[in-house]
Amino acid sequence: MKLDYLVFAWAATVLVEKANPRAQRSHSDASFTNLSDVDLTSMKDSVDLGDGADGLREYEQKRAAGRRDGREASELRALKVEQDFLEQCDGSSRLACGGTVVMAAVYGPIECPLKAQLSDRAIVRVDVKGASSTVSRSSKWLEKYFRESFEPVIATGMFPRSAIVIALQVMQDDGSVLATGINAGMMALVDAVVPLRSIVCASSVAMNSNHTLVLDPTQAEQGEAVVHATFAFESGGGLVSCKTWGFFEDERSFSNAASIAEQAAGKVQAFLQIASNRKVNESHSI
Amino acid sequence: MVVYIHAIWGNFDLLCQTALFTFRALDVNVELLPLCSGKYRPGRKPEESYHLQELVAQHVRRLVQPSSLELEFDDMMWSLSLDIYCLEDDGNMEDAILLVAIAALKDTRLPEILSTEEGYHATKSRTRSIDFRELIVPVSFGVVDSRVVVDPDSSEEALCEAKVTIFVDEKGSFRGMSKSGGSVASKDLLATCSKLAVQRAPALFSQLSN
Repeated sequence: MKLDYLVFAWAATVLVEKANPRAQRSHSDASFTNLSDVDLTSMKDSVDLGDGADGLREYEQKRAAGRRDGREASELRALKVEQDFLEQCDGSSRLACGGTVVMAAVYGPIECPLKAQLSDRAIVRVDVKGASSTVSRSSKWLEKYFRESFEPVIATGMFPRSAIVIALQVMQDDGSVLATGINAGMMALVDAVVPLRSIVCASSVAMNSNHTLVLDPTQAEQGEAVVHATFAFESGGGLVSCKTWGFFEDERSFSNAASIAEQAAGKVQAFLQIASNRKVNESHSI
Repeated sequence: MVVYIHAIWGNFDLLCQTALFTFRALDVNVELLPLCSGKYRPGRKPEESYHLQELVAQHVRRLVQPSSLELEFDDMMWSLSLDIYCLEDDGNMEDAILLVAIAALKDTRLPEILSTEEGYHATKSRTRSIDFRELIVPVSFGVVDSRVVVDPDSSEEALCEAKVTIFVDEKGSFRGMSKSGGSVASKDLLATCSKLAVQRAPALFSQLSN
């Protein structure tokens, strides 16, 4: 039931470009309460301890995980997605996962230079630009990981001698950029109606010095983590790609991290499907 | 172990800088010359070069003990500059480059620094080696038709659907995994890889200690 609540909360925060301004204003985080904002003193003194006691217990559980933003250890940040807002490209999306915002644009299938053409399938090219304005080497090497997460699920055999270009722009980096980028790119591919075998959703897990695994780490949590890993799963449940920074203690902590990430990827996929259906229904209603 | 040859030069420079809590003074340069494979053209650095540089930098940062790079005075520490030149590419570059980087750092001798009125002088007579927190080696596998091939060469790599890298430490325990995209990997496949990696790791460690 908690899962359903969270999925509903994310669905309620979906932005639709063509929606009326009232819908945009109402998208605030009212549907996603952050318990760390609740005033505890009034809770303790209130006569009706029914709700207050549960809230207090939940708050204390969250504090036990020790996360700065008051999340539980296996709690994702609020997801917000916007689609189809760029005119020139075939598909676009902007995904915000808490403070991490990645914008993706997909052109494809398009003409491919002769040198790079493949005779039997399309090439997949990913261009990543980091958050800072200077040419940052640190984001160029991510292109390989993005390409390897998208290429297996795109039906490239349908478009020989073409190219499918996915351009990712990291607008804000507050941790888990690789995972958010994969999800944003996938949303843009769906928006561009590129034939896909399945949907790939990614999530990242970090292990801090207390040996607790935390899901969807922020920049600060990533920086102080002993190890953090990004996992990408496809909709059937299999592992498409995985990248670790640092080393786990043993196989058990790694497989725990993988299973936490798998559950989270399932939630992200559910959210993306709700967002896509919303967009289709909205455009039909016009 | 691996068929191809890599030559590396481990350089070290003395730079005056404040002591850092985390070890960030590492500069890695990986040169994939046209010499090593027909797929690399002269001019701009290929994308793989950047990727390998990041890989080595991240791996090395976690292995080296930062305190072993510190100097006794003025909050200074050594900054490492690692240049890796690939002479021949016969597949499984990531493994080879990581192993060669570890080997080079194990071989590095840091000279003693004397502080005089003129400044700082490095003496070649007394040197010390770099300390490592631990040693972790990568073992890569190619996945062809849901079968696993350890340490694929270039012709095998061309046929691989996916690549899995398992990190193993000296005690023989699993420390991490990286899988580059491609076909979906089942849990059995990953377990097989993990087992094979633990079997292969001792051979790599014995090579490193020679």
